[in-house]
Amino acid sequence: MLIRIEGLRKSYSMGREPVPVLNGIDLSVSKGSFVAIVGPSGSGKSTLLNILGCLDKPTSGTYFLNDFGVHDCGLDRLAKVRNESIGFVFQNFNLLPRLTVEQNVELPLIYASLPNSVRKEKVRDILGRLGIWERRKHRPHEISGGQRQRVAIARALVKRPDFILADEPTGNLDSVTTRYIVDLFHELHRAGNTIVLITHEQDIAEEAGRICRIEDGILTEA
Amino acid sequence: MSRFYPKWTDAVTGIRQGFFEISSNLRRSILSITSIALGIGSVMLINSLTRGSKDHALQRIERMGGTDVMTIETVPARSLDQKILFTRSPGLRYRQLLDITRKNSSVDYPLPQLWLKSGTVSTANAARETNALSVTWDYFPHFNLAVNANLGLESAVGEWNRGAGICLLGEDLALELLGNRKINPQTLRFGDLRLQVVGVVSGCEPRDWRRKAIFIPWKFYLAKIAGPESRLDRMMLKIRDPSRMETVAREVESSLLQAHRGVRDFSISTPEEEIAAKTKASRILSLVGNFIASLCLAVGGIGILNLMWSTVNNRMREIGIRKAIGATSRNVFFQFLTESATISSIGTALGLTFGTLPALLPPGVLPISPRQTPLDFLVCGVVGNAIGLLAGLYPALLASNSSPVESLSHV
Repeated sequence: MLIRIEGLRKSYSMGREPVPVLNGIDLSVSKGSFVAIVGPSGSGKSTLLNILGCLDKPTSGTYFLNDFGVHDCGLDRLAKVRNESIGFVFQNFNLLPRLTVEQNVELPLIYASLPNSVRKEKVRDILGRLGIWERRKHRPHEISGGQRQRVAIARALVKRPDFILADEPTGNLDSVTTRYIVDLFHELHRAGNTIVLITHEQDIAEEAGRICRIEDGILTEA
Repeated sequence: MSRFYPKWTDAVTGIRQGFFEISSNLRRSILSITSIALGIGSVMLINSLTRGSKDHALQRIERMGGTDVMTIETVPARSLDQKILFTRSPGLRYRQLLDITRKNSSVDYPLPQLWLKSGTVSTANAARETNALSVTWDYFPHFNLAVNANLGLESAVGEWNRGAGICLLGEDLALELLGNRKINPQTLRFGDLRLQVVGVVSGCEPRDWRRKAIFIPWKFYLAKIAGPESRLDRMMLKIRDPSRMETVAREVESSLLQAHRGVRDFSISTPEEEIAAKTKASRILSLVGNFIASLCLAVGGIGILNLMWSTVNNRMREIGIRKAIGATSRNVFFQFLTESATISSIGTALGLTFGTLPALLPPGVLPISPRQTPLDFLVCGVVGNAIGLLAGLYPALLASNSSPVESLSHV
C-alpha cells in the first residue's frame, strides 16, 4: 500500500478553543491508482491535502507513506519526503515567476542535489514528453494557462515521485484546456503513476477510478 | 539527520536572486550599496591617509636632518603690541647659535640653512632659473649628500669654511647647465655674484628640489650678501645625544631668551614634537572619520535589513512553493543570507575601489601619499561582508522558519 492513513485528526486553535477540522480519517491508496477526493468548501479538503502532501502534521493518527511513518517526522525529513515522494500540482500553478520554465522544472532536482548533467537530461526529457520544450526559455507570464499547468505537472513529475497530489488542477482553466489536462492525467495514470486529485468539481472527480467524499472532516467512499 | 552547512546550489540561487532583488528594488538597493560603499571607502581612505600622514611626518623629520636636530625659527609678530615688543629683541642671529654651541657641550654644531631668492644662474653658454641654498659644509654629510669636488675634497672643504666665492651644483642643474655631472673648475654668475663651481652634489632623492639647486658657502653668504649681524629666519642645531633632546631644548631656550632680552620671538621644535603633533592630529582624524564611516555602515546594514525583510514578506509564497517541492529550512536560510551578502559584497567591492583610488594617484597630486596595507583590504572586506550577513540573518531566519502551509496561503 502506498498511502495508509488511520484515525487522522487535525484541529486548529481559535483563541482558547481547539476547532476540529479532520475527525478521524482512514484512507488507503494503492500504487498506480487514480483517486479523487471531492468535497465542498470548508469540508477539510485543503487540510487533508496539506497532511497528504507532508506540508503539515496531523494532531493525532498515523500516516504511512510507502510503509514509512511520516506523521511524526521532523521538518527537514518532511522536506525530503516532499522532494522524493510527492509531486504537487496546484490550482494556480504556483510557478516561480522570476524563473524560466526550464528553471522551474529543474528546482526539485536542485534540492535533491543531483548533478547538473543529470538535471538537464531529466528536464529535457519531461519537457519533451509534455510538449513544452520549445517554451523552456520563457517565463510563466509569457505562456498560456494550459502551458503553465503543463509546466507545473512537469515539475511534479520530473523527480518520478511516488504519487502526484493535484489540488484543483483545472480550477483556473477553460473547458478545452481542462479536457487536455484531464486527458494528461489519464495518460500519466496509464503510465503507472499514482494520482490523488483533490477537487470540488464532481465531473472532474468522476474521471478518477475511485472517488472519496469528504464532508465535515469525515472521509467516505463514494 | 541533516547537517547545517551551506550548499553551493543555495549560494548560486542566493547570488542570482540577490542580483534580481537589486534590480527589482533598485532605489533601495542603490542606497544600501552606497552606504556600505561610503562606509568601507571612508575607512580605507582614513586609514590610508593616517598612514600617509605618519609617513609624511617621518619624511619631514628626515628632511629636517633626522631625530638629532632641533629647529629654531623666528616667530612673526601677529599684532602691533607684539611688533613693538619684538623690537626689544636683537632677533635670531648666527652668532647666538655659535655661542650656544660653544657653551653647551650637548650641542654638536649649528646647521644654518638659508634659501636665497631664486635667480638666474648662467655660464658663457647656458642659463637656468634656479634656487640657491646657503649652508655650512656640515650640511652635506648630515643629510647624506655626496660631494664630487673637482679641486679635491680637502681643498673644497677648506675653501668652503673660509667663505670663498665658490659653489656646488645639484646634479640635475650641473647636467642641464654644463652638460656633465663631472665638471671642470669654471666660473658662473648667480645674479650679481661671480662664483667658481667646485663640484657637484649628488645623493638626493629623484624628486628632491636640491637636485636643481646651487649651494653657496654660509660664510660667503654672511660676508657678501647678508652681513655678519643679519637676522635669520631659521636655524638648526645638531645634538650629540638625541635622548637628551628635550633637556637641551630647554637649555637652548633659556640661553636664547637671555640673548633676546626675555622676548620670546622664536620657537624651538624637536622631532618628537613634530611626531607627537602629527600622530595626535592623525588619531583625531582617524577617530572622527571612523565614527562617521561606522554610521554609514550602520545605515547600510539597516538598509539591507529593511530590504531583505520586505523581500521575505513579498516572497513568502515563493518560499512556500520552494518548501513544497523539497527545499529544507537550511536551503531557504542560506539562499536569503546569500542574497543579503551579495548586496553587501557589491557595496564592499565599490567601497574598496573608492578607498583605493587616492593611493593610485601619481605622487605629488595630493599633499600626502595615502598608503594601504593588505590588512586594510582584509579587515574592510570582512567587515563589509559581515554587515551584510548580520543584516540578512533575521530575515533569513524569518524565511526559513516559516510554515509551508502559511507561506503558500500568502497572496
